[in-house]
Amino acid sequence: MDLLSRLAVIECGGLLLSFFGMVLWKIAVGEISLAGLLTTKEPGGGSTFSPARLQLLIFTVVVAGNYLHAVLATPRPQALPTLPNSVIAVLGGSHAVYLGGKALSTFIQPLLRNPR
Amino acid sequence: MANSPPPVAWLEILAGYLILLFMAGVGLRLLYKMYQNEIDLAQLLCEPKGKNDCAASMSRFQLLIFTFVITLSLFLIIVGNKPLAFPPIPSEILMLLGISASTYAVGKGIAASNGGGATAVAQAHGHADAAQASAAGAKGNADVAQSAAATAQSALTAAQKAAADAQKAAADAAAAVPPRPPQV
Repeated sequence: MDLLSRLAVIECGGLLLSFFGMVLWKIAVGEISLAGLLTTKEPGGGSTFSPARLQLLIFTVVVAGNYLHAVLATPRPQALPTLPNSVIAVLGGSHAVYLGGKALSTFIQPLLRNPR
Repeated sequence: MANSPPPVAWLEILAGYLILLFMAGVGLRLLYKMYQNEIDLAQLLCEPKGKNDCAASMSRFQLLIFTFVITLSLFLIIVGNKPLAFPPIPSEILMLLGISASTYAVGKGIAASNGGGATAVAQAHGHADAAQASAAGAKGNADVAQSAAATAQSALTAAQKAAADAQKAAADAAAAVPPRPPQV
């Protein structure tokens, strides 16, 4: 049973790292494009820089990095580290701002440009 | 024989090895297909923008990041537990994943609605304005053409009158000239 457990850990770890590695490698070589990640489309067809997307990217990277650091820094964690409720609230607000901006640019701006 | 596991335990071990083998086969097959681009990951972060264009979506990207981080954390904690055990998942993490996935779903809904017709209405207004301008231009062109036709008609009348006058003058001149005497 010990050997089976060890094999399961090796296999799951290998597959997990391979899947993540494949996605990260494809992002790095440009096969998965990140073009337009921080821009929003204009009703006329162009695209402009979107601060709502930038703040969501910053909050996402900070919270995810902080969480991963908390996991790696604990020597033998018995459970997933918790997140403070304030962090959850801030992240929820950030997502709300992003969705609000997206809804504004999709629903409102086309009508404001041609108010008839 | 006293230390050997009972038959049911052997069955469990055998099932475990079979499951491991099956998972390895499926996982390696998926990896190979991803590597060969038979499973195309190019559109993984892509969200349609316009008719044929698409751009990376922040809602997809953040879901990808949180999925990676939480999965990796969970794996590290399972491996860190002796004996291996699935840890309890705090409600805050479930909320985090819920917010992330909801943002993805709502963002997808907004993109799919295409402005709930707002963009289409704006485009229709633009087309109506263009059609109105074109109609006004066509009306102006028709006026110009009508005026040119009237001018041409009056020029034709004047030319006809001048031709008739010239013809009459020629006839008068011919009548005024005396007949030539016969030559001997």
